[in-house]
Amino acid sequence: MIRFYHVYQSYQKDIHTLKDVTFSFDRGEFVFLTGASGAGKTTLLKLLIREEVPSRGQILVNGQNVSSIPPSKIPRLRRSVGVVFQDFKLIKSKTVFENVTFVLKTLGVDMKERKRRAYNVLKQVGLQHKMNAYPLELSGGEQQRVAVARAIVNDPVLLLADEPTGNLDPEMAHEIMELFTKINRKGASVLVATHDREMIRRLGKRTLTLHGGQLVDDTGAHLANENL
Amino acid sequence: MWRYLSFAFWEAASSLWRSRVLNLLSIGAIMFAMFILGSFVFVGLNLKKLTIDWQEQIQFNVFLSDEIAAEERDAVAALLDGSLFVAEAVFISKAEALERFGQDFAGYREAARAMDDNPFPASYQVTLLKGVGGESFDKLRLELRAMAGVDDVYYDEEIFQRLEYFAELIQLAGWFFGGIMIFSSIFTISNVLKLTFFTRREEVDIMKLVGASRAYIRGPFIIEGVLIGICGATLGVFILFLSYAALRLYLTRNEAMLMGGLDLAFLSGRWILLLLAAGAVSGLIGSLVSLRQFLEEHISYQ
Repeated sequence: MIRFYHVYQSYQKDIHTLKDVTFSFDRGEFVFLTGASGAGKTTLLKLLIREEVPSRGQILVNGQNVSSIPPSKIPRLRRSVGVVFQDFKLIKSKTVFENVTFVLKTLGVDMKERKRRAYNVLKQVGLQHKMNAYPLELSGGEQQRVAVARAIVNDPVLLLADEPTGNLDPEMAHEIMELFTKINRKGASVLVATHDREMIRRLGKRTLTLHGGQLVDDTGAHLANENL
Repeated sequence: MWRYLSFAFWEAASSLWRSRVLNLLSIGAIMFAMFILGSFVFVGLNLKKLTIDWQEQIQFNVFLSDEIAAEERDAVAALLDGSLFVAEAVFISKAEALERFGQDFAGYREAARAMDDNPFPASYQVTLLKGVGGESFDKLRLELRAMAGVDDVYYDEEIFQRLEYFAELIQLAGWFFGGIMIFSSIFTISNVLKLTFFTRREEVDIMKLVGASRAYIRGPFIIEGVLIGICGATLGVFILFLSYAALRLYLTRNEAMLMGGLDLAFLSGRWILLLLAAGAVSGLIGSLVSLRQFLEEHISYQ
């Protein structure tokens, strides 16, 4: 599903945000990406949706080399990947329903189907009653759940989440992780960037650890190496 | 395609409403431009219509020589009376001509009377039937000119040519000033769109991150410009119509001001459509300029 081959990313000469990162994970895997703040977790996620282009190395997502795909194919790549951003990235002038279904709308999905899908995903995150609310009328946790609903509404094959539980209370964080596990069980690959060690320990999934831009630990390395 | 257009339209309409105060500036600029352009066209068209109305019923003078014999004058009168094209032929004697000159040019009345000899010739003031002109008029004119005792057949064509030229000049001036206005309103639109884009920059970034294609981000901006243009032009035409109605009312109440049965006509449907289209195109150019100069880089996927 995801292959990183000796990926480097630097914004200034000789200062690397990511340094020689190589790993892979397969379809249907659930992987945690951890590390201290500034370790390169967000950069790695940005590379996966071509928000940034690596300085060196190759990145394959679902068989597609994202470092060299033409700009016209970037929207399709991003639509096939659900992303939960750390800062939610909800459009403030649109309602919860409009935010969640925006991509479906651009894909030409009709209103009835959009309503059905929005209701289903919002129900999964417990916000079906807030369909017509605007993001600023919601709490941080609620906004995060809307962001999760938006990420999964198009049944993505890959779900990326950047600190998805950072703004949530433990109970809601647990529910969100349950939701991710459920999505994973349905067949989607999930990559969650987090520094919540307790959650990683509790779920016991494969974990990639970044430190200073380098991949210093991969609890599933023995499996991954077989795929490289 | 329909879904895309409907998406772009509703996104543009909602953005227009959200930034309504800012967009009023662009709408006002286009409104003003179209009002100015429409006003010039209105004046030009009505002047043209006036010359056509005037030309429709031709009036000319047949000047008789002082030495005309009675039977020669009778022959001229017979020709005019017998002509199928003549509505009216009024004889003006030399004395009447002098009298009229005195009335028309009061300052010279005494000077004219003081002359030993009356210099004004006798004439027939001929009015043709409405719509008669062209060949029939030329034929009659030549016939009269060839008759004994006729000095000249005078028809002031030049005044109509001048009026027509003036009407065209006014329309041309309309396009010139209107063009300048349109040009400046295109700048206003493109700058206002840049400002509205700034307020929506974050939104555009999010659209890109969740995978909205370039066309879906670009479309609403373009439609927004077109909507601004159409709204502005519609308001411009509406204000022009109100001005026309007020002017018409004023002229009807002050009949003395009506010159030669001046019946004002508003712009035809075709002209109104043309002004609306000009507004829409100005808006389109405005949004394309702002996209090209500034937004394209931000909207495009790198």
